[in-house]
Amino acid sequence: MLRRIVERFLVSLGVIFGAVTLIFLVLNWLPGDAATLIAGEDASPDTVHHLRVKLGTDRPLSDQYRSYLTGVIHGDLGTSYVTREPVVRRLAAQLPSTLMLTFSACSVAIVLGVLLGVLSVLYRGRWLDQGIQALSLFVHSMPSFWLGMLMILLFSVRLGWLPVIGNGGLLPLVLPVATWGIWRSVPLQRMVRDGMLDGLHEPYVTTLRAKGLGERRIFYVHVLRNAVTSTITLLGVLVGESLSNAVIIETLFARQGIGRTTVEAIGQKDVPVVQGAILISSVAYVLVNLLVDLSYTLIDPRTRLATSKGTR
Amino acid sequence: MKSAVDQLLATPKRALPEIVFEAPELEPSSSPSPSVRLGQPAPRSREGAQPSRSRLSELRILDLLVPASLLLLSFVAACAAFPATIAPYLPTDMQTDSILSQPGVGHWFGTDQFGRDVFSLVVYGARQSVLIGVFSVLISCSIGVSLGLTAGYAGGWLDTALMRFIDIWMAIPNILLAIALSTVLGPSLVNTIFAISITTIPRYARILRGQALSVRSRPFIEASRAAGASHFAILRRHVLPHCSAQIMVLATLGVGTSILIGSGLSFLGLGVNDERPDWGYLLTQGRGYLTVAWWTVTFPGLAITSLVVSVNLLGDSLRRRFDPRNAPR
Repeated sequence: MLRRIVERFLVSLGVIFGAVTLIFLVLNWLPGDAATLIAGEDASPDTVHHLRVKLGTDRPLSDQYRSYLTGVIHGDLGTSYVTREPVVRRLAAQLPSTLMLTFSACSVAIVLGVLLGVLSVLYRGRWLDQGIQALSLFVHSMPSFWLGMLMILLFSVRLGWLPVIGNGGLLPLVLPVATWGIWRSVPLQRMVRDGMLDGLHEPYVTTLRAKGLGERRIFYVHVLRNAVTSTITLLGVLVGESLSNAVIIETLFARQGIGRTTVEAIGQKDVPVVQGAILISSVAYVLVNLLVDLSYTLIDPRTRLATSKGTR
Repeated sequence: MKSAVDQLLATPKRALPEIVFEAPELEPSSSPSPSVRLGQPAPRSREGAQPSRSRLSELRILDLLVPASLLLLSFVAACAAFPATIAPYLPTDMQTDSILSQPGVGHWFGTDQFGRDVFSLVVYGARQSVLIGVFSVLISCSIGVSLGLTAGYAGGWLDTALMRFIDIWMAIPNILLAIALSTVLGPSLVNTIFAISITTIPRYARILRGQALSVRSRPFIEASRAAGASHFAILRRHVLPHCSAQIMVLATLGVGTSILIGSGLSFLGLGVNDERPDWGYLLTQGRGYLTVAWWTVTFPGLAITSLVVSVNLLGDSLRRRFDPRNAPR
């Protein structure tokens, strides 16, 4: 068990290292020069060269990579090209707002997803189930920002219940959280529904029935618990894509946060900030997946047996 | 499970009438592992009766929508191919006397802040979404499928190396990778397609690897290997066709995903914004006029959503057609 944990941890470290390298390569190696982009097209070659020296992009790529990697290990993500501020400080200032948004939205998604999933199993094949299915297909096919715009139109413009934008307090949080939560509840709803439908025909249900357990108890305690446990896998996905979603949601609702900072940094061609934001999100993704993996070994004894075969 | 099979084979036939009667009805197609099927409970009178039939009936509303979605897809395709014949106005036609006018007879979807006809803008915007959807899937699906099949079929160190690489790839959030790529490459349709393809490759690779892994140990692979076929020939002639149904489903659903990512990119201002703005960019522009002109965001968004709904419906119905659990009895 301990060996497995150590093993998985080392693999995760490797994945993080790989992700750092890949991001670095994508942002630095591909055609396109930050200095040229910042200086603008009309800048003289002299200005561009001067800027390049100032940013440190005139050095060979291997040098840049080495110093970047050393920095990352020491917790230094570089300095913003635009504000000359350490990237770590800039991102840390934005982190609480984004964490708050992400955490609330994921909670809404999980609660709503499980609730709708159970409802659609209970009313399987009937109008409620069909309605939930159709709605989830529709929501699944929407761009999240359009869903957000529709919510703004309904709740802010038509009904005037909620403010459209803003940062302080809980009220401005409602619409972004609702948009994100509803949008991401769809995969959870599907997973719970499929998991429960499959679970109802598993041998252990027969055993429970043979034992004389009531259908209600089998359904709500055993089948539901198994279906919900299996959705833990999605937790990793939810966290992994949270920065992607934060980018969109924070831009739409004009909220402060890492997502919006990243988009601004992209507009200003501020490579270190973009790099730092992506790095933070990859680390979070890898760590959450590691935790999901390990929690599985605790929850589901069968996976412990499968370790030697190298299955996940 | 193994012992259940042994028992079944060993016991005289009259000892297990129930299983013998029920098993063929539950799983009419040749099931890969009979022991699993036998482990299932026999259909009962109350709940859980005829599981496969209830699965079939549950999506009847959505099934009815498949022809509608085909119709819509052909309309969008027509818009993408011949926008000039369908759109009543040019996308550059700014009518200063009717700025932000309500949807009505003259302008079905109203006009935007420049006095452009929103319906015409939506029609002209179709091409970009269609191109992004189709081409990014073609690229990412072919690369992802090759990677996944190779990894799953080869196994061993190659599999491990490829899958670790895919893990790294997936650790970078997809929209951000696409953003980073299109920032570095600069805005153009080709670059957008490239960026989206790169970010969506891992999904195909992951799933196809699993497929190849399960096909690899089947007897017919071993047989063709014994007959002297090369690994490449086996991959191309046996493994790939075996996964084709799955690939078709994945690719269809992937078109929807790509279109959504593409619209997200241009919502963030990373798309191509020439005189033919695409749907995502129309939403960005309309966002500023949300409080006064609901139609500037409602209709472009509806266009994206209905296109993606149609594609997803098609993918879902393909999936159910190919799913052995739903095989016709």
